[in-house]
Amino acid sequence: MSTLDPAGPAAADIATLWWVMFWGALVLFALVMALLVLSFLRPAMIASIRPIHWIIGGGLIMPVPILIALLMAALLLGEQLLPKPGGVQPMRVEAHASRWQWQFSYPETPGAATTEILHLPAGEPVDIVVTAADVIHAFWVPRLGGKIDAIPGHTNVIRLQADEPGVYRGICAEYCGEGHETMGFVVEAHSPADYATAIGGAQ
Amino acid sequence: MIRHLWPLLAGFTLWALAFILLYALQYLGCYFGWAPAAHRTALVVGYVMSLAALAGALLVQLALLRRRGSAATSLDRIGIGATIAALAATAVTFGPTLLASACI
Amino acid sequence: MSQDPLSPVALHKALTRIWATPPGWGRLSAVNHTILGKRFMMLALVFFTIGGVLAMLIRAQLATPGSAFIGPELYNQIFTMHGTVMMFLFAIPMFEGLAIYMLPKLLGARDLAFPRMTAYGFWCYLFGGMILIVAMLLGYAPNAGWFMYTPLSSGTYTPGINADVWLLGITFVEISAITAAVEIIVTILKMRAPGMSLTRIPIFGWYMLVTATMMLIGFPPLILGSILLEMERAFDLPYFDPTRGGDPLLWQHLFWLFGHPEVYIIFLPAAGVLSTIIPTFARRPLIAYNAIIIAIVAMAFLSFGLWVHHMFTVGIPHLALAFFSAASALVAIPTAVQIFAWIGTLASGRTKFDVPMLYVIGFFIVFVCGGLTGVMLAMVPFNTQAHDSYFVVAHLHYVLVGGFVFPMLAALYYWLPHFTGRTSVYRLSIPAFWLILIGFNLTFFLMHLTGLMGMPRRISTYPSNWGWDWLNLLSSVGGFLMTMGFALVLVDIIMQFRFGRRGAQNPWRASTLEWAMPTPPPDYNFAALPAVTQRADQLDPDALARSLAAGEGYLGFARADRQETLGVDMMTGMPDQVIILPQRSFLPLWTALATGVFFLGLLFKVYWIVPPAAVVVIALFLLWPRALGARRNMGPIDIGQGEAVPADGEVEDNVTWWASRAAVAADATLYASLLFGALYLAVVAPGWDGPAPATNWLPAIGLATAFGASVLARRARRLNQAGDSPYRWLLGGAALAGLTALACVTGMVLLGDATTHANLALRFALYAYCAIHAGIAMLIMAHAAWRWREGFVSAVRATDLRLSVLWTDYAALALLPAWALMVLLARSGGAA
Repeated sequence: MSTLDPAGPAAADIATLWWVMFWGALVLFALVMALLVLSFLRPAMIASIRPIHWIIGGGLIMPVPILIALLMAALLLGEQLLPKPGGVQPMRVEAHASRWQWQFSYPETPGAATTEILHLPAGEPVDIVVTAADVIHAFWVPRLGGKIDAIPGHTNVIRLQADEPGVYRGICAEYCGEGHETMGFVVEAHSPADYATAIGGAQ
Repeated sequence: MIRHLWPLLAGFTLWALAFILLYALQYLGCYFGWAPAAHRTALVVGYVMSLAALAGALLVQLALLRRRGSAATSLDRIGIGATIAALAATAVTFGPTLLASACI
Repeated sequence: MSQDPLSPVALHKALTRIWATPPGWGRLSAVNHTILGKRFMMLALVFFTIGGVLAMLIRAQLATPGSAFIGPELYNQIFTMHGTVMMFLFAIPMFEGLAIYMLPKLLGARDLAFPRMTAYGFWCYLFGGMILIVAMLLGYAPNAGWFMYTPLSSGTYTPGINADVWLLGITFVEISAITAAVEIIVTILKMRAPGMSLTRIPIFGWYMLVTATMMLIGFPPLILGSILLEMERAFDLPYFDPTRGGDPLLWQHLFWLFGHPEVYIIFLPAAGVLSTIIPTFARRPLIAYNAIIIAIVAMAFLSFGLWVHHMFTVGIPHLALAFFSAASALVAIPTAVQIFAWIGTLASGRTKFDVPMLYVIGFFIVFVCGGLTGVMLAMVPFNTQAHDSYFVVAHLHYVLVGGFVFPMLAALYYWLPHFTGRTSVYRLSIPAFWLILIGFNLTFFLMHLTGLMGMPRRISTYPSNWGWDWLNLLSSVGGFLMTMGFALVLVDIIMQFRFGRRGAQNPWRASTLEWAMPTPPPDYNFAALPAVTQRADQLDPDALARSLAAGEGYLGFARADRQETLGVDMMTGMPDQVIILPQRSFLPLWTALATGVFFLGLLFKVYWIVPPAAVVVIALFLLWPRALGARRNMGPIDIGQGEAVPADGEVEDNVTWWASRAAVAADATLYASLLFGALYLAVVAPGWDGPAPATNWLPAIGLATAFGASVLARRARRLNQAGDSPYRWLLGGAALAGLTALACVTGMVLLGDATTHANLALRFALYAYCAIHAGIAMLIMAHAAWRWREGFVSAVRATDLRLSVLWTDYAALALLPAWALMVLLARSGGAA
């Protein structure tokens, strides 16, 4: 269930981003707290800093490069995660939310039934097409990647990949009324060999 | 009020207008299905124009400050600081027009 | 001209007689900002307690997995109410109360610009809040989340009264936010001690000026959204229904267009408090006053460009997300500027330590954490994982408790001696601090991890196999520790009021004007208004207090039973008018009660009572100006120090005029939100494929009559200036404005069934907006005609005529985009 235990490239990249930000934030927090403590103790070195240097140093020189570097990294990572057209198109799976269940269908596989378990082929990206019947829900499988909202009247796509065959858990992340907490689902990733049987043979 | 406070507000008002302009350009380009290259060009032109407008405002304020000389108030100087900040904010906020995917 | 000087005691008695609020039932007629500021803050603390109890219920439910303590239905009401109460009934009114109490004292005025509006705002806050709390006690609390996302909050999925309680109760409360915003802006710009130029006002004044302006622009989108959603729920007008040309995302845009600036609206007053307290304890002036002004202006603007970071997962293209992501990250820079201005002030001063500083340290620890996680959440990829998980719960509590509650506790302990005239004896504040700090971090620090481990928000139970159990249990333990801390604070406040020792007048040796008066403060604040010759956070309040009490300064006398204070030029701070304030009155209470009937009629769908209630509200409001204004020109009047300036009714640049323009600004923002919504639906929403009914000529007719009214209003103003009678022109203009309203109402009727498609529902809303504003213009012109007949208007006392021009112009200008948009809607298809 944990985003810190990624099982696919999207979740893994985001987890890396998190750890970089976490250590960076820890250093910055320690720095600010140290300066705060020093501002009370007032050794000569601190007391003689001119006011304008506090503003320029702490308010501009320290945060600006960090923020710009972080924004660029996040922008590039975000681009990489997008379900872009072109190249070999991943397989499409449809996820339809209603109160309070998910239904998954496989339009590209003739004869595949609609299932309550999301079956994915392991080791390849899949585009999940997310829609909603009634209110807003959100599709989230924390170990595979970020979430995307299911909004009535809209169609959203998220590209996810499970690296290894296995069972993962998904949940509805957008509050949708009384049954919100019961709206979990199971994701099963199968090896390519087993996949056809899995969606062909499912209910 | 505007007569006196505009130096303080001009820069970030331009930033806000640039925001509306570029957000609308982004959206309408996708809505009308512009060719990606044309859409990108329009966005980048909008970005450069926004930067130019901010730079222009800064030059005007600097010229006014020089002309007023000792009659300049501290609000004039604060206004120049605000416009510089808005110029930097424009450069960063709308920098993504150069590369981010416009319609997905 | 000059009056005979009175002894300080006699002067105090004379001024008290004029400014005092009577005891007993007379308390309900209070309009004094000291009293109302305290009432706002006390009521906010009551709601804080209620919100805290709700939080404890949440933590009790979540302490263990699979808990059956309260079921999902009740849990949904509780978390919805916790967010709603804390945001709308605690945070906003709390800082409003502080500003209402503090601003005139910091600026050197005797009251706010519109004392009766303060009282009206308070009653709206009380009654609106009561609607919500009573509904909760009866089991009908809102349950669709404090963010009220449609379609969940629509009539289909929340059929009962619950969502209406939220929409109407909160809109009722928001009246007080808008009135407070107008008052604060006008007071800061126009009502200061002589010589206090704009760049000399204490920094708290700048913070509140920016905050109030943000409120004026930030609240209207939410008010509009609430009105549209209530219209959808009550009359089935499909603004947010995707099957009939609406779009649920429009609600999210309107809500967060308010909701994100809101966070900064809450933070900035708290930052203003820190910028006031820290210099006192550092024993030196705040560093980088100018850089801080730039920082708060930057923050104000940036905060309106990052609302979509609440919507990173709704499927908006990456480029647009990138704009909002960058703006969200950039807002950290003005924050950092302020943090380092405070640290730099401490570093370059000679810091002493006392209870308020303890809470300031708490602020630093908690808020810096919240700021750092805020930058993380601004990053789109990380946000898609953390969004709607407990990571966000942790972040928002770090920001709001760190950025608001800790500074407000510091403010409380800093100004309690001012409120009470007493100092604390028991010092419960110190154990309370440690309980709150430790309890808070135990509760919320762990939630970062809970969220990263995949726990989503707003679930009432969770299974025990996902590693969330011990985290939630510890969070609950921390929550109860924190509650004990807050309980101690409340006890401490009561103790200080009851048993505190009579203390020194300026216990912290501060250098701002609010300490240049006896504590608790007299009803009139200053017996005389000081002349300010330097930045007003570097004064000597002790010396000033003595000379002002002796009447040495401006207006150091009691005259003609009038509540007098000074108005100054916005920039230079030179006196330019004597502002004569209205005295205590029950009118605000009656008006608020009538407003309450209006809202209750809507809530219980007793629609026949709504129009009469609205008429009563308008009639009561028309009674307000009767207490003001003069029937003759007074000319310049003595203000002491050998100077004389006209009364406020005789100058153009008076507070009424300023307030009207501020009101128009808020109104125009609401209209701009409606226009944005119409364009948004026409372009974005699904289901706009079929043909749409054409538009007719009614908007054009309305436009012609509206511009006619505007021309007549201008003619009336010119005639009045020349000393001729504007009477017939005013009545003619009112008639034309009435015709405009009639044209718009006819348009609404001829639309047919507006429930079929958002296209028609939008035209309905545009017509309604224009009809209401034509109606306002008509009322204002007719009222001006009546005021002229009664002798309140002369060539110099011309405010009523200037207001006629303002509102007729606005009514006419509003019709222009409405007409254009109706033509566009007729072409954009949709109504199947």
